[in-house]
Amino acid sequence: MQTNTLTIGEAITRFGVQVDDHLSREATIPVLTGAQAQGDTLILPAPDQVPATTPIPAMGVAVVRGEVGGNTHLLLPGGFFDAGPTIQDGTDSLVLGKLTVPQGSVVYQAHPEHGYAGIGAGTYTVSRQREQADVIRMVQD
Amino acid sequence: MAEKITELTPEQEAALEPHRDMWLDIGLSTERANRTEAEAGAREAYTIAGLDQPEAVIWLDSPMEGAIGAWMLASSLAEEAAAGTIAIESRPSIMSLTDTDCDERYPEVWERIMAVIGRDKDYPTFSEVWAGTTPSARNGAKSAIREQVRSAAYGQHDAGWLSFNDYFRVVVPVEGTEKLSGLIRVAKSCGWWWPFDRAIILTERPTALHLDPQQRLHNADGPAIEYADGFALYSWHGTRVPVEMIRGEWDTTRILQEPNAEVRRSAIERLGWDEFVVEAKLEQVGEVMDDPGNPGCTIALYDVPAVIYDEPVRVLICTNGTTERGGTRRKFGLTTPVECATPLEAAAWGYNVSPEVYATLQRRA
Repeated sequence: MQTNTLTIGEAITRFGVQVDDHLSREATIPVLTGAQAQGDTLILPAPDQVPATTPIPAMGVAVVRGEVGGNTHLLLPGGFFDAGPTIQDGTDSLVLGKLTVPQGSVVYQAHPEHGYAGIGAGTYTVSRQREQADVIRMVQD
Repeated sequence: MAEKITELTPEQEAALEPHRDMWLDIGLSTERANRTEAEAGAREAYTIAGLDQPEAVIWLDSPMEGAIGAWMLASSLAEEAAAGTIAIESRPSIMSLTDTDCDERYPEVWERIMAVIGRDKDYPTFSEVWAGTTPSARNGAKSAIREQVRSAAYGQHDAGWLSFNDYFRVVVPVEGTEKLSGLIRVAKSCGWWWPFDRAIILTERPTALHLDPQQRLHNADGPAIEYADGFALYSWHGTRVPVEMIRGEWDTTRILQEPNAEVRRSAIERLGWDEFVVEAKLEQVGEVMDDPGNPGCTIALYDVPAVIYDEPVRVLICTNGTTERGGTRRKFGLTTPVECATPLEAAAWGYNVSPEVYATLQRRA
């Protein structure tokens, strides 16, 4: 755990990204350096990868965009994110991109229904989830 | 034969995405029709086609009303023609305008364009409305009405092919595409329409249209597309379904009687997999396991026979890592290949990681 952890309420104040009002504003957002899932996205440590180099802009990066702007998984500034390929036909990678959080920094990923995920220093892949239908399709949460 | 276009300039290429977005907005618009502009566009199309101007313009509220109105108008015109009071075809050759032979002139850039617009190319919305109107017309009246569905001009729902030609009309431009300007004005202004010799039937756009994030028609709680006269289509992630299914009136017995596999699958999703596995007495595969990163919750895997899902799959029943309003946690099902032998393998397959990696999950929110 980092010393500068935030509660959900503090994160909303800092980043201006609202989450559902039944999620407790006092709850501390865990900052993790291991694998964690937020809805249909998976953040997975990738220590062997070359670090990402594209700064996450002040507005954040939508790694998975939801319906009419809602339910977007939004990576917030504080690190680097290189967007990668998305799935084309089920045989390709599910990787959405590569995230690097510098030493001393924390990157938060926000989602209206799932709240905030805190990601500590390191390099990660961000992937999305699939399911088996006639053709493999993406999970919509 | 004019010179072939083999590549786009950087400026022309930069115009692709805004052009695509503009036409998506046109195709999906639920604004009220711009009636003045639609009528002017239709009249322009008549002029370009070398036809006399129509005397009457009739506005109706939906493709269904339009198809019925067109059938009535075509019938009365046919009667007049039979009686010798008019000696003209009941339908002018407006659609001959669409024969621009421009397509042959830019095949080389087609692939490039598809690469740019590719992520939106599966746009079934328009064809769904078409498919929705056809069987409803069959149920509602005579097959003659269905024929009017086929002979309509689709206005905003012509966005697919018109956008392509409009790009070459406005951005490049290619000679010959200017013939489409009247049709394009109509497409930008209203819904389906029917050109006749002495009259035009024009129809309104939908009043509401709902899509899922993959841009398929979808509404879990009501019509996915709705017109002012009440004509509506119900759709579950792009699969057209009966209204009773969307209203939640289908039980497991009714779901299993459904002959259409796509509709059956949609109905299972609508009911909820966690309920369905119990109701349909699906066989459990492997042991129930703790859900990594989701303390106090478990994951369980069930066999879904081919008779239910049109190919054998398994379904992983999970519990959401985040509480709902009211403090409950939503259960949901994720379908996986039959090769997944345990709940952990199935959960790992969903993210394309190994079970060992998935087991290290520290938090599942």
